[in-house]
Amino acid sequence: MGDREAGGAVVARKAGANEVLRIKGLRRSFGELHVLRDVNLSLRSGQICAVTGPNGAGKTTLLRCVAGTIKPDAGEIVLLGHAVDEADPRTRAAVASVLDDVDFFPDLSVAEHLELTAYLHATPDPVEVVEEMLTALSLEGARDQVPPTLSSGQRRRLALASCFVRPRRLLVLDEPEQRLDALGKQWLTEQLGREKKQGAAVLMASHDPELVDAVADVRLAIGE
Amino acid sequence: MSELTVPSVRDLRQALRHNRRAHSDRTLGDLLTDVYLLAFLVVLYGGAGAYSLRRHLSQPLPAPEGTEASRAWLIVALLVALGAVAWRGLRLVGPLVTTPAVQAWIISSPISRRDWLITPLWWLSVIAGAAGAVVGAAAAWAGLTPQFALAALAGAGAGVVLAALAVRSQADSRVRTRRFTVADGVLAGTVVLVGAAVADATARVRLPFPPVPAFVAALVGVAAAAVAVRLAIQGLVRLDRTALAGGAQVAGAAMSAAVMLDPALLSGVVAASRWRRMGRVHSGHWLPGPPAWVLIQADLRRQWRRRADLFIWAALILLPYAVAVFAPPAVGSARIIAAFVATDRLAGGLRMVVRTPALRRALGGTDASLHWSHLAVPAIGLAVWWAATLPAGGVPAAPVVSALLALGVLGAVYRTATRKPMSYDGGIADSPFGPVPVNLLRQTVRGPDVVAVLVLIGLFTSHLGG
Repeated sequence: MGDREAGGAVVARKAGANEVLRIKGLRRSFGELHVLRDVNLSLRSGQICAVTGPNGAGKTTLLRCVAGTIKPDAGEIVLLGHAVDEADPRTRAAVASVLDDVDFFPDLSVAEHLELTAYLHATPDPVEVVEEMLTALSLEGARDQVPPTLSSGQRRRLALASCFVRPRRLLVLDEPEQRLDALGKQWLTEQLGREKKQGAAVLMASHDPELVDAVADVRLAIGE
Repeated sequence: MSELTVPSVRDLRQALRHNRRAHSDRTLGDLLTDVYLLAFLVVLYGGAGAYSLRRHLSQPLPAPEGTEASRAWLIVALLVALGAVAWRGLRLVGPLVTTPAVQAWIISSPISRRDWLITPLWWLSVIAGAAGAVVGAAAAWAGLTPQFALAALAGAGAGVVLAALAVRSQADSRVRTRRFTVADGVLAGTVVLVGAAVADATARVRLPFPPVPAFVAALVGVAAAAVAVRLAIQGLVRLDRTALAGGAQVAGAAMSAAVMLDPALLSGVVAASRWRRMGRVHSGHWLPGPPAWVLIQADLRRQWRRRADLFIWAALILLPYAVAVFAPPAVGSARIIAAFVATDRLAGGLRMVVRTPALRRALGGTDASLHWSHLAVPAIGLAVWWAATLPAGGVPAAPVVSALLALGVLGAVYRTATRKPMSYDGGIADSPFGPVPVNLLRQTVRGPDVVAVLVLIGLFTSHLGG
């Protein structure tokens, strides 16, 4: 487990070797509202960082900065040695994310979506991987459904599945436990454990203390 | 236990109006100002419109020699197509739409549903009748009949019939789940009719147009309207919450799209509603290959599933041929505009990718590679469409100019599809016509501006190269 520093910033120790993500002096404001102040973080391969804090503390803002969907006011975010840029294909190849802007083609089925993602990221045995993921996330019954017909829970599971059917160096997950039932949460905990073993880094915001306790190596408390 | 008295709709409306007034801080002065402004606009624009209409009606559209019957058939085909499109539009929004508060009143209270809904039904019939009258008069002006008043009356009747039957259909839960409707069949039939009329004009096979007296059409229209309204009134009691709420979302989105000048606000809701109705599709695998190849396969498959767009693309092939019968000098311009509209129907994938950052992140690659991959299907569609409409004429004789125009159309489609969500910042510029929101205007015309330039180029170069 990493050490917590004053002001909500955490630096994972032994950074440098296998470093996937480095955040240094990150600041982000919305008008007069200072959401993120001097956030520092180093995340290595196989580490999971849980971002915790009350609603409105800036967890999602931090995740969106890391995914490159919003630009920070100051500071740097370095992913595998290069500055994060959402439009950079290297960033898109390395980062699999589930943020609050999740969306799908309305006219492709669940299975087609997953297979498309797998093919585009050159996943070995894409059909097999997709079948496994459909079973693991209890989406077999919805494999031929188009996204507008899915329940909010199913949409969440499809978004998560999209991250796990493709190669990734960093997973950025905004409250991944949201809308998952007990079995789904159990699967998520196990899957995140597997991610660690396989060497992916995970940055996730969560309100679920059980999940955080079970998987997090580093905690970044924001706004507490 | 005392007996409950159900208030009449009239009493309830009065009570609600009274409460609204009590909570409103709108003064009589505000009301009179609004009425004055409205009256001013109606007189100004209505007067100009009426003057312009009278001028046009006094000068019927000249027809090329010997094409009167073909023109009449084409007008009928266009009227039928317009009716089918209007039907689909009406059914998409309801056509009877109520606010959630009204839904609560008529579903959850013992108030008479029929009495409450009959007022919006009358308003709907009046509006549909007025719209139908305009269409009828326009058809008469285009050459269908010299009797404008009777044509307008027949059109009004047809408008009321459509609206009233749409209300009756709204009340029928069996109709809601159908994938293909009568309107789809009518639209397909229209295409055949246009094709026949064009073939008639081109091959000079004279198909005589039956001489139906205008007063008979008007009489049938009025009688049918009366029967249809009666059927609609009978169906009002069966309108449930699903029927009333279903279209309210679409109507709200249409209003937002019009106010915010952003058609995507409506198209997203319509697409989601269509796919919710569709529910499931037959999943297939992708053929392995480079990312661009897989994306093109996905775009093709999505296109195949959006058959309505494909149908419109194909139906528009007939348009330049129809214009060649009506007004030969306008074929070139009509062809460019129709090519743009037809190809734009195939650019749904591009629009989706441009507007959805989450999809771009999930699909990977560069923005440019995603854009190009999703432009392949529209480009192929345009090439086929352009080739299929060459015999209609109006093409610049120089092949290079023709090819450049086609490329320009593709550019216009790309420009339209890559329009970012509307931004409402930006300054207002003073002009002789009043203040103009420059940034808003620039975003709204992104795409069609290129089409306008292409039309001008087409007009200037039509005589080049022989």
